[in-house]
Amino acid sequence: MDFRLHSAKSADHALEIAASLKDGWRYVAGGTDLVIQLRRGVRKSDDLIDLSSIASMQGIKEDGNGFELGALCTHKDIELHEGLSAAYPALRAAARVVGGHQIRNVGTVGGNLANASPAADVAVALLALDALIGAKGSNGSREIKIDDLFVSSSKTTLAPGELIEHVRLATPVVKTHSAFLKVGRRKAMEISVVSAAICLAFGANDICEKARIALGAVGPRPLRAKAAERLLEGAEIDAGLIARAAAQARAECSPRSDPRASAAYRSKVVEGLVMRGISQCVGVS
Amino acid sequence: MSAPKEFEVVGKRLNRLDGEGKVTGAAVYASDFTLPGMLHGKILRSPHAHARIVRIDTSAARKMPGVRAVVTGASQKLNRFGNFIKDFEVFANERVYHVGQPVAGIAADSEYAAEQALRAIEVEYAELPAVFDVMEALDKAAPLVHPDWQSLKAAPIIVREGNRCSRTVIKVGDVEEGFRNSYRVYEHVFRTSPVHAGYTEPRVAVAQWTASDQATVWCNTQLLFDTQSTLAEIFGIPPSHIRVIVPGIGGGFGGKLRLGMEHYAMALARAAKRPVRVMSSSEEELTAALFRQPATIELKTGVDRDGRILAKEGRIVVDAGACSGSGPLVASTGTMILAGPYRLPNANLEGISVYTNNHPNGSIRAPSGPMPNFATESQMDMIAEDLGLDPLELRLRNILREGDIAVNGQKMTAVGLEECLDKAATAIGWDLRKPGPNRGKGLACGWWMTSRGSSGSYLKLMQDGTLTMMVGVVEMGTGALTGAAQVVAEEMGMKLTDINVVSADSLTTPYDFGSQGSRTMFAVANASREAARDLLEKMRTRAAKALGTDEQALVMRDKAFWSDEKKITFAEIAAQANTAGGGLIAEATYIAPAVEHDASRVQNHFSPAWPSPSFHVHATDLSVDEVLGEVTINRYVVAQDVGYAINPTYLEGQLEGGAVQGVGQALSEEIIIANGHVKNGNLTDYKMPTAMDVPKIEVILVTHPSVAGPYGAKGVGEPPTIQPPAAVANAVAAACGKRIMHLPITAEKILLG
Ligand SMILES: Cc1cc2nc3c(=O)[nH]c(=O)nc-3n(C[C@H](O)[C@H](O)[C@H](O)COP(=O)(O)OP(=O)(O)OC[C@H]3O[C@@H](n4cnc5c(N)ncnc54)[C@H](O)[C@@H]3O)c2cc1C
Repeated sequence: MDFRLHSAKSADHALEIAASLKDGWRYVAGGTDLVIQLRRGVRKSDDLIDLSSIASMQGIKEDGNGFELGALCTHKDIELHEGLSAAYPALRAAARVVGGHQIRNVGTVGGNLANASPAADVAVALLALDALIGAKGSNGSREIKIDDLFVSSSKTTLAPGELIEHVRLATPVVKTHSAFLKVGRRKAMEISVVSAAICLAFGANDICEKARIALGAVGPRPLRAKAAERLLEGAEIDAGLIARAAAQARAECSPRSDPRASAAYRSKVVEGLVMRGISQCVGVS
Repeated sequence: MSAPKEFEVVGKRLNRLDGEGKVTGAAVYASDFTLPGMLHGKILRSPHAHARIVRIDTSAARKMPGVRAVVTGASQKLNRFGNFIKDFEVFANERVYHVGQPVAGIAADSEYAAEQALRAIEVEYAELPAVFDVMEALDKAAPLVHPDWQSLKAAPIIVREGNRCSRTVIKVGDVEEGFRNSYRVYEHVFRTSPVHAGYTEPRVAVAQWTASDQATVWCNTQLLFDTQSTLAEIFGIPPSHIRVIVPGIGGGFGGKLRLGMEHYAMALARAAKRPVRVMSSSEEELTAALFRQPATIELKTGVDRDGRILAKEGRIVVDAGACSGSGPLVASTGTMILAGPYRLPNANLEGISVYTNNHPNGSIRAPSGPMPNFATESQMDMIAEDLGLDPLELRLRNILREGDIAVNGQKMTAVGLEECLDKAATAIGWDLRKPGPNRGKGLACGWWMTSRGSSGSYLKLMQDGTLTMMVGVVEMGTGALTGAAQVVAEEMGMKLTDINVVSADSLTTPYDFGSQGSRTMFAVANASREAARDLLEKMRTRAAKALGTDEQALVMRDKAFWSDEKKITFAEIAAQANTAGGGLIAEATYIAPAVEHDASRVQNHFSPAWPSPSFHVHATDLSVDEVLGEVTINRYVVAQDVGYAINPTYLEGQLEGGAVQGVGQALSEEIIIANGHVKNGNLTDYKMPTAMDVPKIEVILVTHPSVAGPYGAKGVGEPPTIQPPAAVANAVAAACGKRIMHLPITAEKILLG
């Protein structure tokens, strides 16, 4: 590893530095994904633009409309934020199973999204929560629906040089329940073999008004099981429907075999996770 | 048995002598060690499992910035080495026969410069056919991993044939007859996967040549003298010209018994004429370390109506990898584990090690233990189930008891197995084997030996009345040297903190077989105790003279000899000796007495009789998630016959750590290899258990004293890694009915298997 480190003081400053460099530079926040990629030679960068001291991109803000998470907010910040945890238990559940304490203390939400691993835990949770990604680039600021962010493994729709400034989550409607579940070989320090985030909003008479099923590590990107969501929406959820939705979610996945697990296992387990996730949400409703 | 005598130092939970430095971070490990002017070495490794080296061009690499030396097989004449067969080369010469085999080394000003320069070395390979499966490798038509195997020097005990690099047999009675008389005969095949030893500190060495034929190596080996003699053999210089020092070692677990980075550091340092440090990266550890051998175990057992074993036929086939390494030893000792601690009227047990083009393997903690124990103890449960017997009852009907003759003809003494079974079963609540849906309990028992090998100890009385003990082993983190010091302190009437331990330097300490084989505390304490007795005699003689009394009239108390009201302290004795001449020093050596066995039963066995055997039972209570296949261990109990606990705290630590290591092999750890290439060579995907994966390990110490051991102690370090795979497999079967016969027992196998 051999690179020049440029410290950015603001988002605009970061964009300025980026504009001044030849190709081959990268942003770095916590470095927990990037440094390993550089070390293993998966990526090479001559210049790293360090975002970590940009004050405006830190912390979690809460207002009447919802939450704004700075891109530099760490998994630990999420885990410890009471308002956010109460509103979206799935997000907290995802944040608190990222790596170990050391990783959670430095790994950021922006990095988790921009790295665009299909197994990224917080990204999968945010996908179920309809997060809006605030991005800034040479053409100014814009908001991207999270479902439009991911393309494939390590590919996003961010333009070259565009950075993630923040992530916005709307205040949940009254009867919203969410859950995040993950499977791996160990009970901690584990990259998801399969993960599932479920968010269900219920109206009067316990009819499910909105359903989100986000799945990790069962396709080239964190994906939504949209047909399964449609099965749930407008319905009263019972055991039979949960089983049908879970089977449908499974059918929407295209898992691969790799040393962590076979496609057959992922496929079977994703159904189980979705079933459990929905049941958890229904159980508390 | 008479009531145990109260001791002052042994048997006590005293703090480790090396504890403070390790807790505060002050302790220096081999990886902390540096020298002025030191360079950094890196190794270029083969990307092919089997290939002819057509050409190596290092000219571009030599011109890279910071590069000081480049070494290949052609540039330095180095001798082959290997424990039992000389089948290792330092750098490949004409051929590479496994992925990861070192082809060249570079020493440069920084690790980074060395790494960059590696990429500039051009190697042209012509690929050759390779073999990765042991069964295929045994086929006559398979490519030979070493076509020149007949010309490779080997120990006489090694029986070779092509890719089969060793064969050991134990034979008793007539198995065919036994099977004919059996009520039922069971045949199964089990498989295990390679695992890493899991030490925290990677293998590292700093080498410096102090003359053209003299060098010092600072490294983290477990074996000073084996390392010294192997390096001497490689470089063709006398062993005494090589000084091996271990500043500190961050875990070994057998993975650091054989050469790690020492030979590369020495070769590069010689070429660069500067000290060179070589440390393996975590990726190299997980792709190119000496793993625990994967094994295939075939077992056929015949029993009578009551479940008594009438005949057992078994074979353990060990994948040695491309160089035999510890494979022959592992296969050989594996036959005893195939037998298990059971009475076997008829047995035919075979252990073979086989060359493949996989990475060479080593000796990990209880090297032959977990694989055949997993097979034997799983099968015991399968037999019990088929016969409708309680697995505990089946074991009680077959285990060895005091005075029984074991499979090798050895008469068993100090057998604490039944007590271990009783206590472990009671602790885990065996009466309720299925406490709820998807929850079950399993147990497994086993035996192991306390390895022999010589230890020596030098003692000297210091001017302040304390004692310095110099021994040729390495404190690996087991607390073995604190235990040995406790024994010496007890003998000398001193406090533990009065013992100053010097170790881990091949030049200044006496020869020792080393930190291995559950023998370190056992043998070092025995040697040191003998030396302490000698030293005390000398001190007593001086004291008697100084006090003008008879030696018999002296009483030793509070680090002084007393004659009525008169006394002379140890410090005064030392001072007197130092000024008047005849400083007080003593030495002794120890080797465990040979154990009798029936030589007609064994062929080519490395350890045909087991000195001070130990007995152990593990029991666990676990749950299986029916949807995900995930295993959660609720409780885990270890009952081990340790003979005597010199320091119960560190002994418990050994049993806890070993059980956790074994649970790793049982549930999550495996080096995944396809066509010789490791697929999970990083700590993201090689899964050692975390604190969340194992519950508190509940330890029960059973004490049937060994006659040979210090205060009755037996070797304890290796055994706890043996039983976990079988105990877990049996509990999984009890919980959900799935019998997994291939380690590790992953959620995937449980769910889809
Ligand atoms: C031991 C270990 C365990 C782990 N376990 C998990 C786990 O369980 N679950 C999980 O999801 N992840 C895990 N990870 C991965 C990683 O920690 C997370 O993805 C983390 O959130 C990445 O954030 P970071 O700030 O460290 O990203 P960095 O490494 O700094 O950056 C990652 C990528 O994102 C880009 N980037 C960073 N910030 C921005 C930004 N604001 N705008 C645009 N691009 C940006 C960088 O250029 C880089 O390409 C683990 C990593 C390690 C080392």
